[in-house]
Amino acid sequence: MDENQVAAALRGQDPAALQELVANYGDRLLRSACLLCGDPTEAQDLVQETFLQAFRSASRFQGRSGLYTWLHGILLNLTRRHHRKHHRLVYDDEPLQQEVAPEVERPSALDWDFTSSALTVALRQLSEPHREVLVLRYFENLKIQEMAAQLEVSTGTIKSRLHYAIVEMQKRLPAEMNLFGTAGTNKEESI
Amino acid sequence: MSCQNFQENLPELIEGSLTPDQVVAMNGHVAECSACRQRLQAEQAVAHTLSRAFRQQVNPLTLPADFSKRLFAALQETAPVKNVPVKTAPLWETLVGGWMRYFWPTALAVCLVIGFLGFHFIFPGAPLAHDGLAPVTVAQAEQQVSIQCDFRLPTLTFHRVGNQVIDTVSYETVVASERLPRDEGKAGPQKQTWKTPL
Repeated sequence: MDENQVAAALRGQDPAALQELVANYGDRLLRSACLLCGDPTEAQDLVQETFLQAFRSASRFQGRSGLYTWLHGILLNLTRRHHRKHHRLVYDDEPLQQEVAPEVERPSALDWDFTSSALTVALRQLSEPHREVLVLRYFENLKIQEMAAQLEVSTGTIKSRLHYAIVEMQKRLPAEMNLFGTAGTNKEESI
Repeated sequence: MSCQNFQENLPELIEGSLTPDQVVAMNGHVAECSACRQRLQAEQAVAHTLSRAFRQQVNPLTLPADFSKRLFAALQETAPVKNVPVKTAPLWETLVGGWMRYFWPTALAVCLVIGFLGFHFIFPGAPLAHDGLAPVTVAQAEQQVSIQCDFRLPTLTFHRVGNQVIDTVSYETVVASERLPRDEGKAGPQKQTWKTPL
């Protein structure tokens, strides 16, 4: 089925359309959700909830954006709601609030490599708006205008958040990652 | 092009969303400005490193084999209940019930209107006092003109600070109201004295 047919079938509450969505976009949504929330188990729950919500509110899909963009927008909203419910805010001297994720209670062997990596830890230390722009820009490869439309803020705000996020990641990542291309090692470091 | 302009448009240059003319202008600035050239290289390095890092981090992850099964099970649990007969009330009950909902507010509004009109029909000479002056009857109000103006009255205060005397000016706004007889027959201005106490 092409995207229009899937959208039409979804509006008709056809379960086959939902199956098609999972097959086409499930893995990609999972990967994005993992970067946004920092935990593969939580990410699976978020992706499941994303598909459920998409199925229930299929009539609201107008076709103005692609199906994946629409699904990703649902995922972003669910991730924010999830963080508001389960995470505490830490106020420090930084000008912006930072979210501190709770300890991973029982990481499985499969999850541990992901959750303990320097990149994941650094991402989780960013506030949600800054994490979102990094994931949208450098994983989803969205352009500035597209990010502004999806997050419903101005392009200036997007650029400002990106700049701050990159500076913060540079502080938190090991020097070997060498984000700004300055003198460093040439070794391929496992992340 | 200034460095500020260049740096504002740098993300769009890297993502390839500038027009050809803009790209030419940006490249021209980069050729001349080493600071902006370094900034461009830094941004490109960030884009490359983070994209690669994200992909290495998450590309191995896939949904578990039973994800679809769990998803459809969750969908069944939350599906709305179908084929349950909904009881509908008879038409007469719907109409009467709907009308009765508005009966009391309407009755109250009608009573208030009747009361207001009745009061003025029963007591035609009831006083009108709109302008803060002594109440007058309707007949008297028709023969008079109500005038109101406000003005600022300066007040000087003096106080000593050491060997100096400091004067302070403050202003008080005074509102003066007066009711004058309507004088339609006579020509020329009429002199009136304001009776409002200051």
